Amino acid sequence: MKPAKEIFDIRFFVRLACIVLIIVLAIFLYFYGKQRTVYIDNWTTEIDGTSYRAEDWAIAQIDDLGGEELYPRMRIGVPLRGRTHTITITYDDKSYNEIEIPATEFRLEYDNSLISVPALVAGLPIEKCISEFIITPAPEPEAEAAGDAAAGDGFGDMTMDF
Amino acid sequence: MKEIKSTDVRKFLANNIVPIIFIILCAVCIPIAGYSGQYLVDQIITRIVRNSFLVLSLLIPIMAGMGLNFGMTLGAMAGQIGLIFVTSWNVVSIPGLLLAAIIATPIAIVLGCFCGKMLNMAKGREMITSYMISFFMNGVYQLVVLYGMGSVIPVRSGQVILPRGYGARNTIDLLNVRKSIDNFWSIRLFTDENGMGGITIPLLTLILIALLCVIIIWFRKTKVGQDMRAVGQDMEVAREAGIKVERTRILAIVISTVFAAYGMIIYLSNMGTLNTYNSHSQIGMFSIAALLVGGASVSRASIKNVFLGIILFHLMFILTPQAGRNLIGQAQIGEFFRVFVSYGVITLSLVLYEIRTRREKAESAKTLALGQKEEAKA
Repeated sequence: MKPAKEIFDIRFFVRLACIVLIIVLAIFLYFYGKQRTVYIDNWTTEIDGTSYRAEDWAIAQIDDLGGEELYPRMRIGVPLRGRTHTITITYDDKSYNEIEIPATEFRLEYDNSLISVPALVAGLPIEKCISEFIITPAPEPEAEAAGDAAAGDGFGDMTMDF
Repeated sequence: MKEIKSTDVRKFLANNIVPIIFIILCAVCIPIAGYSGQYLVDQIITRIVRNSFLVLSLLIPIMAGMGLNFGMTLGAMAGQIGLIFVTSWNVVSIPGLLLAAIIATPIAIVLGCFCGKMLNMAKGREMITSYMISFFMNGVYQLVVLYGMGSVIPVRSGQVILPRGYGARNTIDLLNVRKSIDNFWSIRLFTDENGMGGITIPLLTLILIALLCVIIIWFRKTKVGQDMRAVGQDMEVAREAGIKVERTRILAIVISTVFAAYGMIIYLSNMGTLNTYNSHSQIGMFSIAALLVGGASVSRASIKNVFLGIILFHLMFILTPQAGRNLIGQAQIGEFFRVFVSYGVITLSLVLYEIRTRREKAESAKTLALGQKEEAKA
């Protein structure tokens, strides 16, 4: 058995520091590179028992990514990195006057979030306008679901592209 | 003088028979396929960028006398696991690839250690042992990915996990990281007036590959690199010289496995799709075939062999289906042709290596006997 002084030498601490550094880098990369998608939704929606009708026309802009025109029953997905962003909405009121809602800051809590434009236009706080958007994944073909490829004997199969 | 020259030519042919066959085949196929030079160059660059890292990972075990590392599949599996996690977490672009590499590294190190230890127990039969280990680990990988992910390992993303709640999908879309390195810094040459066509050169990926080449050259000159070469030449002599043979051999396999993991990440990010249960299984065979086509042997391989091999092997890949279609009206013929050529080249290289080794042994025995006879006469 080696004495503690020999085990905890300078080399040990250098290695430990390297491992810690790599873990810190991995955590940083996770938060820096994590992408969330926000869906800007212009559908008639119901929040807390109140119905909000879809806007006839609106422009939504996330951060400074450029505005997207929205018509009734439209939903646009915007992939974003980081958690905190801003949304600016421009819409026409009943007299066709263009009104701009100044940039509102919001925080993304889910991988896929949905922002309701009609609710935002109606003056609801942004937290009420955001909800989680659950995407139903496409069902797998039966053979694939059963994991047939895993059971195949294609080891070293050269007929596939490389 | 004439005799020396003919011997030299014979020796050159014997040493380079595989690349020569491939050069002739490619030369025949190019006019039949009818592809433009620009298209071929673009395709070759794409494939160099995609595969170089993987093929380069094979050099170090050859240097350590462990032959062709079929166990690089283990590294490929580690790389795939890294990419599965990154896709599940939706970490995109270069940060995603770096994170995948960080996740893959410890897995590759553990698998490399395991493979190295097993190969130490099967000295002299490294290639077949590493091939069998890759089969064995393939089973473990499939068990983990098919039943562990989603149930034991917390992977929740619908992009990765099957609707039943556990097991990874057969095909995982890597759109989040697709061509991140290639597109980060690339240039396009010889485009037409509409900016279409041309040759794309992904500079950052090429720089990474060049960096790995430099690392390999530098590594050969280090103490560990010299130890590996000594072990590769003669294990007993190396042991007598005080080199820790077993440790050095394990290190060679670990380095190769880690590089293979990085290579697989680059390869898959270039492809844009992960074939969860199959991608890794072909990689070892393809990379080894490419290296052998470049003129490498079981005991000797260089960076030059890597690039020549990738160019010739992939030129065959690109040309043969089209050549088959133009010649007989069926692309499938070309596909079959390239398959048997690929397997054939591995077989041919192994046979040639065995013949050469036996011949060298016989020659050295003859020289030794002659020396002993002369000594007895004296």
